[in-house]
Amino acid sequence: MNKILVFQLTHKRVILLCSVAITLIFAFLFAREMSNGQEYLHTYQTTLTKAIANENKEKMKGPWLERYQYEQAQLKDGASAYANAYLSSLKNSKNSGPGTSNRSFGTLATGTTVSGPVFSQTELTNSVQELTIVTEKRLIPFFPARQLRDELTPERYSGDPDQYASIARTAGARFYTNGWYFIGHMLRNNWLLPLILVIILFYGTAFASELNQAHRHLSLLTVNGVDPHRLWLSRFALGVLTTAAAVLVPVGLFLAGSLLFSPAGSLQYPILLWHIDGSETFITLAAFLGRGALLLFLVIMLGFAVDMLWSVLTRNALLAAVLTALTAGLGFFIQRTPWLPFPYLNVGAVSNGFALYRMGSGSFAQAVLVLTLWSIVLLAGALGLLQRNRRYGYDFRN
Amino acid sequence: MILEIKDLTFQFRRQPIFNHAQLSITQPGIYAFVAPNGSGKTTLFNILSGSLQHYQGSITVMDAPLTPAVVYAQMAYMQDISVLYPYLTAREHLQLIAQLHHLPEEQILPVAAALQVTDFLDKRVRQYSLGMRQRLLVAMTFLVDAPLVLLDEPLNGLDPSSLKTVRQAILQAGAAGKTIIVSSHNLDEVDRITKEVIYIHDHQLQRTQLTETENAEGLYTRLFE
Ligand SMILES: Nc1ncnc2c1ncn2[C@@H]1O[C@H](COP(=O)(O)OP(=O)(O)O)[C@@H](O)[C@H]1O
Ligand SMILES: [Mg+2]
Repeated sequence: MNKILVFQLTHKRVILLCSVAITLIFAFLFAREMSNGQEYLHTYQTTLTKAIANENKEKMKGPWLERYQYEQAQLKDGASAYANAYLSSLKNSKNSGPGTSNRSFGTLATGTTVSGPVFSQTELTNSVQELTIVTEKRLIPFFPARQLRDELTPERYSGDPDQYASIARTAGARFYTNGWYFIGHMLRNNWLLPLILVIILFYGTAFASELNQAHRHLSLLTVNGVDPHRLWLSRFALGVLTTAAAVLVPVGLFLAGSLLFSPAGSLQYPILLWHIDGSETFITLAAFLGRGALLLFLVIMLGFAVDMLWSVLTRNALLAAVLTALTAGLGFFIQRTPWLPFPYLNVGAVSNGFALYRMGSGSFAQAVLVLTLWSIVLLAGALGLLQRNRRYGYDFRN
Repeated sequence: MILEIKDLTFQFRRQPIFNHAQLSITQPGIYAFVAPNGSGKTTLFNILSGSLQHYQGSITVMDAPLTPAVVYAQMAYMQDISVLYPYLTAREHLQLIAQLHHLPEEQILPVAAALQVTDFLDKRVRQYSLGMRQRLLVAMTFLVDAPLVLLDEPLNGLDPSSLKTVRQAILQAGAAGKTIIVSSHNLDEVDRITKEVIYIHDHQLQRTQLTETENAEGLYTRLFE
């Protein structure tokens, strides 16, 4: 039986391809993140230099020249120094509005204006909290430090809507140029989900093709002593584990590779966590990644269970794959039914609680429970149907 | 007693296939299994091999009631070509069977040679002709080395030289003391391998031994036309 499973695995090159794809996509996006960060820094430095030249030319005696020079010096001193200075600038502007201290940054960086914070007080508070943790624990900060935006920042923003994008790009810029931070970013944005779906769809064909009238491999196996239920269960387990490995290994490779360019970042980094009442607190990046990994694993399990059920029902690999993909697609539309697994497919937003806040109910534990229970129910259903049809040689006409 | 079927009743949804059918085989040897298309030959093989489990009656193989363990230990069953994996080679199929039956890999090559599978041992089944697939299936079946062998239309789609190869494999297994039930529409070939005939008539299983002067064709015409 092991041999069949191994055979099938080695004949699903798509798993390997997906792994390679994940590695390449990660590498590419990371490289882009690095270059965007560099470009931002370069542009920003130019802006500062120009502003300084301007001040000098006009021989303005004001706080601005010193501030620009101060900021320029901090930029040169690197990520941590800049983050420290940025934090005090934020605190200054929070306490007394901009323009009270010379050892403070200009408004471009801090995202504050004379009339208050450019995003909203929430972003300002969150940013101060985030950077306080970062500086106190001496974590590796983002460079350059900027305000922490969240899912609702665009809604809270009360300024000129046309300006939002450009303000977000400057005062809310964030470049995930450290390995762990980038992985967290990918997790939050569900970048892995489509690739996981592809693996499930391709690997899952092993189930349906065994029942196909044109490929009754299962009959060959059963008359040679293979218990079909054990086979399917083993294949299910193997599929789940292989898929998990097909994701984990590339992510690990990426992390190792990223070390060539920058430190991995701090797993203690504070990540915003949403609560049902709309309040926000911080959890560590490690906790966020842990939640995400657990959910991803459960989603993989659920995916295989769904594919298996469709396989028994359709006995057609292509049809089963299409229906599985459509089922997954339902996740986009059914977002607010807490006892269905669909809202929890949004792994990133469940891991940081935002999806639960939007749904107005549920918890991370409930997400785990619902995903697990549905996997078990669908798996049991698929195996039960398989048993029922076994009596008639896996033929649905009866 | 090699095989004993008592009171076998089986139907697909509304279509009766067997109605209190009886059959017993006490002597090893080669038995031809003839009946028109759709009368239930494959169905009987599927019942005997445990692939269809929804029958009434009792079946014993080597004096033991039919169970998956008995099927595994006592039976080798050649099904139709749809069971083959298109993306595996003949060698991989034979290795699969060897592994499932805990047989040493050395046994693969002689069987492959006997059925002239050697030439395309490492090609994928996808590229095989019907005759090549049939020979691979027969090789997989004889590799198992079970006392009771069920061959479902092994002669289908074979050219004259393949026919001879398969016929010799069957005759050799018969001479080695196995019990082989071969379903076939090739009545000339039936005459070349055996005088023992099992047939389905009126949802019953019947057995007859042809005399020196009778042939399968004659029996078939008398029964079914
Ligand atoms: N899985 C099935 N469901 C319903 N009817 C079937 C099934 N398999 C075979 N039959 C029907 O049972 C009859 C016997 O089939 P089969 O045993 O394959 O005949 P044979 O092998 O003698 O040609 C045929 O009429 C066929 O249509
Ligand atoms: Mg048939």
